[in-house]
Amino acid sequence: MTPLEQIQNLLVVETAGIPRLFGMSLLEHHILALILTAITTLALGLLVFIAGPNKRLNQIFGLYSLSISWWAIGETLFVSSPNLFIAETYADIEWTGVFFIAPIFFHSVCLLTSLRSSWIRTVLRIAYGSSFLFLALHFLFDIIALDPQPVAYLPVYNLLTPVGFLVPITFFVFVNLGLWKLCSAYRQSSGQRRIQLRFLFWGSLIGYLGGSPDWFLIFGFHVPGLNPFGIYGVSLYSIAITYAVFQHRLFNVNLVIRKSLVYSLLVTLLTVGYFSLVYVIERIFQTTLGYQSVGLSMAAFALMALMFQPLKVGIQRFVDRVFFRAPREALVRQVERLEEEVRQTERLKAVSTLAAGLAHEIKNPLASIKTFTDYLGARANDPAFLAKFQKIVGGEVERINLIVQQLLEFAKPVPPKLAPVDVPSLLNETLDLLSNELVSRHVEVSRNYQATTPVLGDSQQLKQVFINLILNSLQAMNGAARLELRTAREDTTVLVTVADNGAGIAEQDLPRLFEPFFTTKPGGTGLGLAVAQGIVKEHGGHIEIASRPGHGTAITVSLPLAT
Amino acid sequence: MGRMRILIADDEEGIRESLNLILGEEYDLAFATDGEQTLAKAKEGAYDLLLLDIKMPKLDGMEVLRRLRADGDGLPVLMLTAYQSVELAKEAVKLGARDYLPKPFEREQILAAVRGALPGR
Repeated sequence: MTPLEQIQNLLVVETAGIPRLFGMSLLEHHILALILTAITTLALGLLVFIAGPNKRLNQIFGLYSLSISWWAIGETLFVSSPNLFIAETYADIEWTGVFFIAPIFFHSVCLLTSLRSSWIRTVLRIAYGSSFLFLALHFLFDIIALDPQPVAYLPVYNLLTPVGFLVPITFFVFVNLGLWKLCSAYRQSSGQRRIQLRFLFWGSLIGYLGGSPDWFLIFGFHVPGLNPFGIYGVSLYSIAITYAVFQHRLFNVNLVIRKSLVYSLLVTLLTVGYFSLVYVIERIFQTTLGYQSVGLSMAAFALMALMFQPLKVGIQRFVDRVFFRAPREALVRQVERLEEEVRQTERLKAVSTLAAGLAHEIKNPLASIKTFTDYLGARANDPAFLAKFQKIVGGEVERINLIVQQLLEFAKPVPPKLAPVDVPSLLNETLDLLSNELVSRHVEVSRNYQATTPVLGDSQQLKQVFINLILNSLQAMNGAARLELRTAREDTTVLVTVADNGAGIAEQDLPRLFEPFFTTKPGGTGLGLAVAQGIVKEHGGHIEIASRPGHGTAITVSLPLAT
Repeated sequence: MGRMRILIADDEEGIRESLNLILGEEYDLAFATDGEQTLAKAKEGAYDLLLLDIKMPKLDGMEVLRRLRADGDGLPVLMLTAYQSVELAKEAVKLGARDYLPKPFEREQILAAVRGALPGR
């Protein structure tokens, strides 16, 4: 007998007395559970990693899944080794996975729950440090595990050395630390985050409770029932986490990736199933009838091709129903949340526009004030300078005051005190207020009041609207200036039009006229029309502008009747 | 050699007067209050430098600069604006502006930028 044959003979295992369950021996169950664990954890790790290859959490969780898969593959190969020599090599693979599972699990939990304190970093260093220490002790000094030997129903397994006892101790310390942190984060969370963490906590707990009996074997104990069936629990962990990834957006895997992965997986399974069916039928024919039928194979393939599409559609419907159907209440909550987000974004955008405009409008007068005050010391005795100082600085301060005042009116309009308002009288009062401006600019004013029915409004606020509109017109007019005020009734509203023969408004500027701080006039604040529109809206009316460059502008305010 | 001539284009009287205070003793100044006026004056070819505000009526400063460069006018231009936008600054420089001065400005900052931008310096 050669030395190799002697080694191989050591592995002859008597299986006659070992009970069988579901037609398989305990060893076969052990191997099947490990293979399932390897496949499911590897698939889960890949899924999470693909969803965010640049994100640290996804990278570490991918590594964590890989370490479990590595252990499962190593142990599968180890317990089914053909001889002791090869068994030792596979045991090395298994141990490498075992050393790193707990630290990477703890690391994943830290990232998932945003734990970043200095003591967490220290614990992580210790965790990874112990893994590398075990790696060195195992590979360099071989003092972690004893030589492979039969244990319980397994033909070959590793028992631990006294030093090796440190491995399960550190394993349980870091796993329990991770579970504790996960539990704490879960208790402090709410909403979807709470659901995600619940799946992660219970999934991990089931996985570890299931995988733990494997450690009993290392101590030489076989607990009937727990060994080897506990290992199936690790697959349950992967399935639970995968379900949470699909259904509860754990790791933020987006819908497109989730759907495509599920479909790909199922379509692959379907294809494999079809091929297996064809293969089995072929084998049956070959064994029972003793011949191979090319025609039968072709027919099976044709059937497969015909059935593929309807079955694929069926699978898609099934996937949508099982994985992507959210409860109605959840959908309503999601829609409400999205609407609130849109409103919030719009508000922020408006504030940002206002802030930018305000900054611009105030910086210009500030620049003038600053320059003039800088020169004040040196030119305090220059009467010409002092006159300019008074004019410019006084004017700029007044301008800032006006901007702030108008902005306040725009941002927080006072609710109108509604009462019947006689529009022609109001327009006449407004013209009286602006008479100096009208006379100095030689403006010809015409009044065409066809509607005399009162409107419902706040006379002071409406006066402000017409002052702003008329001032706009005045600033647009040059030469022979004509201003026309018209009123007309239309159904339940009164239309008030302020028309001028000024420069008109360029077509591209029309959509922006009501934007705060938008102005086409030198020295304009860009708030007049915005304030006017705000007031009119508060009255339940609206403003329309018609303009032709070079011909003039007509602004029409629509106000509700008082009756 | 006569004094250098600078065209100041800004629709704000306060800004024009401020720049007059800062630069008036050293340079001959002329003023424009909107984009079209600026373009017309700049095309006279009588100026050594243009201080150009971005936000102006009729034609904004960027458009004025764009049209000047499109006509092959190499008049040195310093942009003035209260918008502290890096994008605008980059665009103005890309269009051929020498520099970009944010408001409110410092006297020394204006003088240094003008001296740096004038030809022969």
